Formats: sequence, structure tokens, C-alpha cells
Amino acid sequence: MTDIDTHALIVDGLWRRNPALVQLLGLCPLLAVSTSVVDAAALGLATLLTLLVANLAVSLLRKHISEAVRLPLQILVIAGTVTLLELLLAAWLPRLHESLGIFLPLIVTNCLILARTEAFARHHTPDRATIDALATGAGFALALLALGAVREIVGQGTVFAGLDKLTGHTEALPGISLFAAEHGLVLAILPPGAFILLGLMLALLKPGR
Amino acid sequence: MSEQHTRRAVDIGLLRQSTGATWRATPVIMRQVILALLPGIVLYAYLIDARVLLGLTIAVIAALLFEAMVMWLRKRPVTSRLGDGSAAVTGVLLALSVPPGLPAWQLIIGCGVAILLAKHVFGGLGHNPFNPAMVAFAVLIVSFPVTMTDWPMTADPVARVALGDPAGTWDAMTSQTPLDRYRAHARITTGDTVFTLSSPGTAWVVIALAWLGGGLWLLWMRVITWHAPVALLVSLGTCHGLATLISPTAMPIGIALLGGATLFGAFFIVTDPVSGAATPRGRLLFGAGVGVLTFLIRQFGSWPEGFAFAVLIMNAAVPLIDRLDRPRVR
Repeated sequence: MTDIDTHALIVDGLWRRNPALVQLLGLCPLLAVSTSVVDAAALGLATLLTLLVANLAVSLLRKHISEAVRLPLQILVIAGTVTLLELLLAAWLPRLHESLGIFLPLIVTNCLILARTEAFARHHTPDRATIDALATGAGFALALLALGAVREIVGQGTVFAGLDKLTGHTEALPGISLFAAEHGLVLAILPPGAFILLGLMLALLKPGR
Repeated sequence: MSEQHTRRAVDIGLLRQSTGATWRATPVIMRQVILALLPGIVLYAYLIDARVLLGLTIAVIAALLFEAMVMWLRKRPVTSRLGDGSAAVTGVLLALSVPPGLPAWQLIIGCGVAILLAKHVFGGLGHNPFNPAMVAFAVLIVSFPVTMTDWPMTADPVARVALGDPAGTWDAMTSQTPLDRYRAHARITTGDTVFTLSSPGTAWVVIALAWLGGGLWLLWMRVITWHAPVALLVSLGTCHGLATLISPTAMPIGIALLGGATLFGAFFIVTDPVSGAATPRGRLLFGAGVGVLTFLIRQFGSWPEGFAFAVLIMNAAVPLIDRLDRPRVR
């Protein structure tokens, strides 16, 4: 396989083939955890990290993985990474761990990660795989962050509420309040609101493509 | 009349609202719907709260502006669609469904939801699977539960006299429609008090009868057919009747049919030609489904009125209903 230009990899991951906004991969965590900026950022970072480790590992092992068992092995690598990450979060940021709940272990099933290891990492050198993981992971995290910001602002009138969960502060940080919570469009933080706002976001981005 | 048929007809500016009715231009139908609503609106403003007129004005202007904006964005002729009156009717129906004191900005958000999300995302007039006014109502009641259940407090002396309290012994008219009032009442007392349709609920009954009158006029003008409204009233009445037999504390049929959104919805919402079923049998099924679901949500749900949700659920079932009733031609 010929090596792909770094610039093209970055543009693809972040924008042209953005996993969340173009390929619509990993919608379950994208819709479920984007109720606030902090949760969205945390899950975006966790996904990015998992993707980075998994891509790198699969790329390094690409000469040794036999064709027949490649899928179970890739899943094993991803699951191992996620387990590590989950234990680390539980130890260091227990409240964040609690807040993300089931969606942290569910990163294993995020089709975005398997898609990248299967379609990219196992054919490319570790440095390409790293760049791909960073670009794609950042593309996913940014989309998650954008949706989280919109939903938190529209739904509750705040940004960065609960930042303490991410920084490990013991006292609760209320975040920046833009308007009174009772004026928020509660629908935005409910599941249907996630679908509607993601749809509107996709529609707004469409002319830019 | 097939779904495709309806859509094509709507595209060329015609809307046949009832089987057996003549094809009529959409603006004519919309004008007749507004006319049918007028007596109810006048009584509403006089007996309950004059702010409803302000709400209606804001909603109609907002709906028209959103419609114009979307038509411009979609690069379609703006004026022809505004003139057909469908956006204005959506605004009117929404304004009449929400409490008259609802803050203007919330009403405007509702109009935006109705026109942008419920109507034009699906392709505009004739293509929307859900009733736009009911989508907006659902979004508003989920998002602003406090203001959306804040029915007016008014100390208007005229209303008092009209309702039989010349001595002015009330502090204020209570803040509820008969339905809310009954529910609140039933929650406090444990069943040994008989609830009667007394003042100030009477004002709402008068208005409900005005909706009934307007609906009958639409029926007479052959703008709507009898199927959906009758099916709705019969199924809702039956459900409430059975409930009364089983449990004496259940809501009496009179309140169930005259209170809440029942008569307004029966003649002005479930008769929507676009989001409702297409065939007469389909409309019977549609209306009956809305009735049963309204009853279930009223009786067992946590919302004060289940009508909007019932309509939306049945809207989702319309393609299935239309399919059931398709002529067997191969």
C-alpha cells in the first residue's frame, strides 16, 4: 500500500469524511452523551484515546495477525484498551466515571473504532495509523463537543456546567450561565432533541461540502 | 383517494378535504376553517381571557414569517404559499391550543417548530406526516411545562356576571379548564364528592360548544367529513363511560367530552386532510385510535391532556391505516 499524504489524512478525519457528521458512525454515544459540554468532551477524549491506542496496536501487530482471526483480535485490543481506560477513570475521576456510566464500556462497540482498525490501521504503518487515529478521533470528539454545547446551551442555558467532574475539583463548578434554566428548551436535552439538533446540524453543514 | 393523489393535488394548490366534496382551492378551505373558528375565538376572548387575541396575532404573524423564510430558503415562490393560508391556520390552531398567557417568545418558538420542523423538513404543505400544530404543542409542553399549564387567572367582572357570579364572591376565576380542574379535584378529594360542571368551568363548556357549532358548519359546507370526529367522540365517550362503570372516581363522560381539547380537536385537528387518514374507513379508525389513546393518556399518563400526543401517535400510524384500506388491485 502506498503511503497516504498526512495532510489528506487530517482533512479526511476532521472534515471531509468526519466519522460523526459524514459517515454517521458511532451515533449511539454521540446522541446519548451529548447532553452537556463536559460529558461530551470526556467521552470524545476517551474515544480518541481508545482509537489511538487500538490503531497503533493493530498497526504494529499487522504482520502477525492472521486474516482469519483479525476481527476477534481487533476487538480484543479495543476491549482491553477500554477496560484500562475505564479502570483509570474510576480511580482518578470517579464522578466522571459515574456520569458517563454505561457509555464508557460501550466505547468497545463503537463501530467507528473497529472501522478504523479494520479499514486503515491493519494496512498501514504505525505513524500513518497514529495520524489517522488522531484526526478521526478529533473529528468525532469535535462533533460530540459541538452537539453537546448546543444541547446544553439550548436546554439549560449553561456551558461547562459540572467542569469539576473533568478537572477533579471537589467542589461543584456550576459553569457559565447564559440564561435562567427554566427558560431552556427542555426538549434539547431529551433524546428526541438530540436527533432533531443533529439533523439540523447536518443540514446546516451540507452547503459547506 | 391515494396518498400520492393527495400530494399531487396539494402541489398544484388544491386540497380535497372530504370524500364526496368537490375539489376546492386551498385558500378557500383555509378561509372557511378560520370562519368556523371565529365564534369560539370571540367567546374565548370575552369569557376567558382577551390575551388570546394577542396570542393569535403573534402566532399568525410568526407562522407567516417562518413560512416566507423557508420558501425563500427553498427558492420557491414566496407569495403563492403565503396566500394559501395554511401557515396562518397552523398559527391559529397552535395559539388556541396553548394557554393565552404563554410568553410570546415561547409561542414564536412553537410556530417555528410547526413550520420549520413539522412542515417544511418533510417537504411543505401536503407532505407533512404529523400535524404541525400538534408537534409544536408537544414540543412546547415538554419544554415549558410550567407556562404551558398556566391557564389564566382573571378577575374580569364582565366574565363573572356572564358566568353567574354577580356578587363578585370569587377571588379570581380558577386557572383551569374543566379537565384540569377535575383532575386536580379528583386528586384532593377521595371520591365522595360529586363534581358538577359548575362555574367557572361553564365558560369552557360554552366555548367547547362554539367549536362544535363551527365544526358542524364545516361539515355542512362539506369541508370536512363526519368520520374522524364521530369516531373520536364515540371512542372517547365509550372509554370514559366504561371507566365510570368500573370506578366511580373516574372522569364523568360530560367533562371528558366537553372539557379539555376534545371538541376543538375533533373538528379542527383530526380532520386535517394531510396528516390524517385518506379513506372514510381509515378516518374512522384514525379518529377511534385518537380517542382511545387520549383516554389512556388522560387516565394513566402524567400530562394534563393527552390529545396532542394521541394525534401524533395516530399520525405515525396513518401510512399503515391507508395501506389496510387500499383497494385490492394487482
